Amino acid sequence: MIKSHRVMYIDGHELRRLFMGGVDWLSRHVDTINNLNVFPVPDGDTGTNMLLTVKKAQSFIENLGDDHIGRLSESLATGARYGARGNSGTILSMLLRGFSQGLASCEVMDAQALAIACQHAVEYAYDTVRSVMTPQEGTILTVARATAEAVVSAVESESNLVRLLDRMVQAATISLQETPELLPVLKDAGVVDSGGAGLLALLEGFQRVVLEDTTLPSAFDAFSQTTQTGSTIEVAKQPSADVLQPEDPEGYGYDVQFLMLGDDLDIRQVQHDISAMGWSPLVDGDSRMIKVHIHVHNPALPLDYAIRSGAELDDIVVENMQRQFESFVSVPQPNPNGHVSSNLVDDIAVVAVVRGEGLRNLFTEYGVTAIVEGGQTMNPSTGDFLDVINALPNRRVIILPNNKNVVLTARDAAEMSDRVVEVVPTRSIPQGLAALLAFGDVQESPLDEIVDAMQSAAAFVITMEVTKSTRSVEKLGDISVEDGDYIVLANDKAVASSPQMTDAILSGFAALELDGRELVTVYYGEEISLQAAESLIERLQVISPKLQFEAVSGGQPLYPFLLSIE
Amino acid sequence: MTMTRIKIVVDSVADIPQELRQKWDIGLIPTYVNYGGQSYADDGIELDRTAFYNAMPTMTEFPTTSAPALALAEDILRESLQGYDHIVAIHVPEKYSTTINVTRIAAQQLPPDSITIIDGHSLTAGLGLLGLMAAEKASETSDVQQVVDLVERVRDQIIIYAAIATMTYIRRSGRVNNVVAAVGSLLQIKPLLHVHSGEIGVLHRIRTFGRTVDKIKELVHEHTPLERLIVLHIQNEEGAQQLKADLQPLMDRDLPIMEVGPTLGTLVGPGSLGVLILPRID
Repeated sequence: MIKSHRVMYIDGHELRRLFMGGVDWLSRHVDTINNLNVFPVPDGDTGTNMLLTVKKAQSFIENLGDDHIGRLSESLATGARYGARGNSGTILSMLLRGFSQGLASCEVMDAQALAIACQHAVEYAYDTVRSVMTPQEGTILTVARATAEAVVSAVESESNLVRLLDRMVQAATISLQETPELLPVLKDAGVVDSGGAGLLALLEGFQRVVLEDTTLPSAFDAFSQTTQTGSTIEVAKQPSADVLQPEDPEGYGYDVQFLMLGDDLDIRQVQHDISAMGWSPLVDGDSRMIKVHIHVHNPALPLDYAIRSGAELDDIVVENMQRQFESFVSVPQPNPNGHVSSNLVDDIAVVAVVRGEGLRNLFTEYGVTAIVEGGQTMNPSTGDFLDVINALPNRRVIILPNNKNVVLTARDAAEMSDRVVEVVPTRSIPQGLAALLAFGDVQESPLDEIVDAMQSAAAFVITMEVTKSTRSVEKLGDISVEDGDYIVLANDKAVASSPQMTDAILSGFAALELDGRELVTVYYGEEISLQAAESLIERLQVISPKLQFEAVSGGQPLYPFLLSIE
Repeated sequence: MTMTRIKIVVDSVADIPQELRQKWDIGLIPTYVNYGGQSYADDGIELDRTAFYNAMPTMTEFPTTSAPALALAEDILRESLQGYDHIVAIHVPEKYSTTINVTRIAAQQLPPDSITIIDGHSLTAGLGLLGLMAAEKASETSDVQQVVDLVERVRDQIIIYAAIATMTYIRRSGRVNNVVAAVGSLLQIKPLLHVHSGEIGVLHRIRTFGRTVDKIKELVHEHTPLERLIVLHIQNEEGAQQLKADLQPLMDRDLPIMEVGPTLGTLVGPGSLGVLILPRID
């Protein structure tokens, strides 16, 4: 039907096909997008994050027997929101949400509706981002806006959706190429914006479905060449299975999903009845098929209900989320000697994103309520946060994201949750620990004062991160980096690099402003021994004999050393 | 109005300087510090404070403390009634020391109604201040009830803030498990402790000593105007002088610096700094 290359409108069924094509094309470019990282450090996972976001969205519409494009895109957006992880994934989920709101009442989408939906997508994303931070240009937001503007201006003279999609791809391509001009860090690093590239990959994927042509020229080869490395970028390689495998593990209880088939199903009634049985309900469909997804303590309840209603059941999946949850997060037992409240509901819970056994122990010892596994290269999703929060009894929750790429996801989870959730935007593990220590001191205060105290404790800490560069960059701030060099970041700024780890750390450390500082905590990673940490400390002590040093086992992957300077 | 000759008695944790104790004739029930196989009364005579503190960092075994023997407490209380009609004894909070119980048992040997024993709800200079204020009130009024009322009113207004230089000694002491639990063991923490109303608690968990001391200064400012302000330290004269210089503008009279005595010093360890404040009540 699309073969004519002249399409005046599409319905939900076709949107689903397009979206799946987009997901497929994005999945082929995950590594390329991951490598479009400003810092050549192993936290470049924008591609993975965006793919996990859209995969979750896809899972919400795959079996939906509803061709109403408004309802389908609403499901899509809901799925994206649960799957959202990383800054770009989270913004993408906002775009999809705005898009679906723009289409809400449409059964099919024509050119006008597309323009309205695109415009709404961009407005919604900008407004939502603005509510937590200043939107930055030269990012996925810019590319999305350029794409929407192209549709809005073309729609006056063009009603063929195929041609409009072509305009969108063109506009996105141009806008993406311009991102380094808008964002100097991109220009210095010799890359285009990774989130914008992810959006373009989705659009290119749509186009491939529409034109049924998988040999179309793609912008991606060109972008690969403009990066200064080229060599490390592998195109069309599927991301490793273990990255994609863990769909969001749900909270305690069971995750139940099934399809209800019938002739005269009452979607509203089913929504109402199912929602009352548990949490995280998602009930979507039409009079012939309803997709049910809900978390319950007793999986028999929704299944029994569906059978009794006279519907036929299909595609039944019941998963024990308790077990998955336990392997994914830990809810530490309260310290028997510490402060144990008789009323957990009124206590404030602190949820921290942590990776590495030693660091988990630290956060546990200093009073974190629950840990979400993740951090560098493994950003948790909005849904991961919500599952953990929902499993806690506490009415009020504070999230410590401990990574700059997790802050926005945490904020979105905070907004979605029905609890009172505050985010203290910690950008590193040392900041998170400082905030956690401060929390213990002020937990009887009003919530806003607690958040302030935690924030200022975090702000005092200088974080130094040591890792291996994933590609060469000629001009990274004031330094240049070769692929495989050790690179040192101080408060997210590249300060030193060298093929020798100790040399890189020493020169990075020597460049720090250490006035008024007393203590350096050296968290050594999973591949570093205590002896190695202590011999590093001996070298550092020569530079700053007045400082105290402390070696602590962090057990974190990828980062041999994290230094906290206070 | 009855004229009662009142004797004030404190335990050695009150850290009242010798000359002031003599001036007000304040009695002392000594606690004991045990180290090097010997037990020394912390009475300012038997135990040489300077020598003790100098030896502390090199001691192979940690020093310990103990309450006085019952017989000794009985002797001291009996002697205290010579020339006096009534004793007001002010002690370390029961929660942290058995001295007050030793005094209670020893008091059974005394004539009826000849002693009032009060939990001082504070430590070191906090107890000392209560002892001195009680002695002043006693000589002013010769009225037991007025002295007791004063102590019971003031004891819960005294606040001590302390920056702890090392957790080693507090951990060893096993007396303040809430503090040990809050501070944990995986990270170096220089806690800001708070002594108030007979409770020792962790107010802030800060990783560096300098910032903990800064926090103490902030807290002192929050309590102004002050009736009393005393700088406290254990083997940290330099830090105490600096803290005094920083806080002196808050007070008209010269700020006293006091070194915490060996009994409490054994439990807290050298290097720590603190302040005692008594906010002004209008």
